[in-house]
Amino acid sequence: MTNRGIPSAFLRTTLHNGIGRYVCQLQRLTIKFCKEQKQSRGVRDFIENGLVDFAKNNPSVAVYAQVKRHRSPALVAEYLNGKTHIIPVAEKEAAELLEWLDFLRTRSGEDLIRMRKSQHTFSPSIQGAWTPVTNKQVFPPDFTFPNNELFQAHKFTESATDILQRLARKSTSKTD
Amino acid sequence: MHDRRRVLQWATFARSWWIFDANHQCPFQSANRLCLFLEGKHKPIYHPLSDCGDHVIVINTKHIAMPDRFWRAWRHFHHTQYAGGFQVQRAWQVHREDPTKILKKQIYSTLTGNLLRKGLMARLHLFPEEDVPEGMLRNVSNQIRQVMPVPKTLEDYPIEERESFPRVFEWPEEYVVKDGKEFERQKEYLDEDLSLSKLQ
Amino acid sequence: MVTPSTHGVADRINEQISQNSHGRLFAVIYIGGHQFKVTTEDLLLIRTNRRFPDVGDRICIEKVLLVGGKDFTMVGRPLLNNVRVEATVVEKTLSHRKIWFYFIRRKGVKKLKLIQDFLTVIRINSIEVSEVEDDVD
Repeated sequence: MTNRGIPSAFLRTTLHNGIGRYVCQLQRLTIKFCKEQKQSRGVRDFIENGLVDFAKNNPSVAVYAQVKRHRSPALVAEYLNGKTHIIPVAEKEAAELLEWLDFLRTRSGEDLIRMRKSQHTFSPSIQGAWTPVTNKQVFPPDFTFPNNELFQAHKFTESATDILQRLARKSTSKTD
Repeated sequence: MHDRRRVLQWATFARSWWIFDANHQCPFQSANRLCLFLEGKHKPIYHPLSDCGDHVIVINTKHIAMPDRFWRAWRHFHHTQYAGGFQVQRAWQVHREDPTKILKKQIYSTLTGNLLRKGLMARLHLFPEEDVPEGMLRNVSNQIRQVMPVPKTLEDYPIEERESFPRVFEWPEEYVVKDGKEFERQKEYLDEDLSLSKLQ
Repeated sequence: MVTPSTHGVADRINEQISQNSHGRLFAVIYIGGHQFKVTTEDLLLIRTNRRFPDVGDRICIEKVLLVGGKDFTMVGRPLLNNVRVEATVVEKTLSHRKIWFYFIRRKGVKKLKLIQDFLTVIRINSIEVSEVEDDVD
């Protein structure tokens, strides 16, 4: 698919995050798992060993562990901007789960779509936006166009006449 | 977009009028230069999708300069859309019929062949002599520098400088100097003969 | 080299810096392999690896190529050493899934990869300039 066929957005954060202090955007994390099936083995490992540490390290996140019997396990993350992101974690080991949790913690709730520009600014111009009048040559009020004396072609190379005249001037100055 | 941004946008994308004197200029080099201003490439805000080109007025297109071989050998093709209507004209013939056509065709050819070209050509105003409508001249706010230096003819030097220039030798008194106006003088003699014959 | 036009420019800039009357400053920084023109409160999206500082950390951007205000511009050759640009890491995510497709016709050769880059979003918090030395010959 070309970039035209997929959705896109401009760079933004929720409520100007970072201008004052940084606020963790992850609001609620729900870990859905099954008690018996082997798909949830990694999740069960994680819940036994790593979940409490994760919850302690991130006091602003509400962490829930929800049993869903005979269903595939998933991580459901809800963000401050109201969006939800679900990651299916069937057959995943505890170490990989930690990485996905880290990913969920560090992102804002914005969708993973193409960013049109890699910058966002509130003040695009400080010295003033360019207009055709910026750095324009100023003419006196009685100036009329066309004026060929001012706009003759630039002479970038010396013509044969110019060289001869220059040599003549040199020789006359020498004799003087 | 709120009001202030809208006005800033108008200011940044305002279209200016430029004037260019094509007297003794090469049409090919001039076309390269003029196309930059028509497309808007002389502006730091240029983008091919934003229509930021300017108007260009070209005067004295009748006095463009090319080497003799170009005037003789440059071919311009056009078809009258009727059977057997394929026509070939040399540059001097095209120039005689329409003095703006050579420069116009060259600029058209130099511009990128996309859908914007027609609009850019509409912003090009060509005049054979220095006669430009007053309304257009009032819009002009800048001039494009000439591409070739205009050579100074003998008549451009003041008479005192010409007379006082050191001579290597003097012509004898009875010597008739060719001044290039023999054809006109022959025509005068012919007219005189004809008028005399009429009287008779 | 001091010419009539450059004489006293450093003094005038230093006057504005000492009085803090330059107003909003902009800077051109080099980060993530790209150059950005930034002011305070700007957001930047850069492609990084996962070892980039954690979310919420305050970082100082080392490579500053240019700094300017309303009345002056300082151009580094190539970097400036009297500017401090501080930023906060706001987000670390993945990009959208980009398609990498390799195909040779009639040979049964095709490969498909869905690539997601690691992205970091940074908020520029402050640009501070200290007084400039007038390197006069």
